[in-house]
Amino acid sequence: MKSEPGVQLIDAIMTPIELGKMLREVFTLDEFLNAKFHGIQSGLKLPAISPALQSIINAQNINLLLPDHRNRFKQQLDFVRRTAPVVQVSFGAEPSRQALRVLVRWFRENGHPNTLISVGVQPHIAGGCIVRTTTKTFDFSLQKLLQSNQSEFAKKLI
Amino acid sequence: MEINTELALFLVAISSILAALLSFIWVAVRLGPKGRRNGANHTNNGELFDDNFRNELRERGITRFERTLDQNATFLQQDLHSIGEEVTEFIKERAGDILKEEFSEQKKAIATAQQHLAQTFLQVDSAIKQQQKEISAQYLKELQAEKERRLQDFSANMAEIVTKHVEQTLSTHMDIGQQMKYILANLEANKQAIVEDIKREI
Repeated sequence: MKSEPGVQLIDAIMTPIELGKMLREVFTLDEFLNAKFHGIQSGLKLPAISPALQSIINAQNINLLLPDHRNRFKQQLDFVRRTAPVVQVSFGAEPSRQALRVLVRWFRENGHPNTLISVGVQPHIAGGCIVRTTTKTFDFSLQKLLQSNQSEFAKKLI
Repeated sequence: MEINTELALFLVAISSILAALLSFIWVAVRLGPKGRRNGANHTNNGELFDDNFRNELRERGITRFERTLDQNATFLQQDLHSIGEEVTEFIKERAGDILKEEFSEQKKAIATAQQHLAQTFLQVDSAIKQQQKEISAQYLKELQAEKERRLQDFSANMAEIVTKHVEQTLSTHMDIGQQMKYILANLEANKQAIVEDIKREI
């Protein structure tokens, strides 16, 4: 496994975009603290930390005020961003975060603990979803379901 | 034979009428002006019959002649009546025979026509039944073909139609959360392939 031990994404980080936001947040905080450490008085307050970042640093027992911790955490997040498997999932409508969380948990429990989901919306599939991994596509849509049983369905309808 | 008898009777009656007429003419000639003149001369001047006697004879002759005429007329009328009846009877019998023959021929013609008509009706009925059977078979065949064609058309586009309908009907009301059970079941069914592909990426 390429991901470093001890770095595990929480459920709040489900998509590459959210991971990127968190990474930018850490970079911003790092730049701010470095500038302050070098005596540059920007006059700005400490940047606010998002609940997701707060949760992950609490879970990993990381103190972002310490440069070593910050650097290591940045490296870990960057490593995760580069190496975490991304599964593309398309739905017929915009999914709720609760539904996505259930899906992410399944992938992280059965596949990789840092699996990310890239969500897409394709209205023509109506229901279900289409899962695309690196080399394969799994169509669990309502359209595919009807197509697979269309002869029997057509007989019943007609 | 009867006709000859009637003709003979008719000739006899005519002959008697002619004989009576000739006798009347003869008497009239004998008692005419010349005869009377001769007679008057005889009576008055030695004539045989006087005027009274002549008048009496004339009256008798007229009466007898009229009676004879009446009798002959009666006979003639009876004969004519008899001939008329016989002719009528003959015509009736003859007409009856002719009519019987005609009726018999007409019956035969009608029977033949009826038989022909019955055969024609049977043929027409048979042809109609055959045509009805063929039309029915053709209709069922076309109905089945149309049904299969519609089934194929619908089958070809069914998934797209139903999906489009579901999409238009539910659209934003489609809750992904309610579909998670179905999605997770499919993920579990394809778990091995999905996990292998994810790990291959790593």
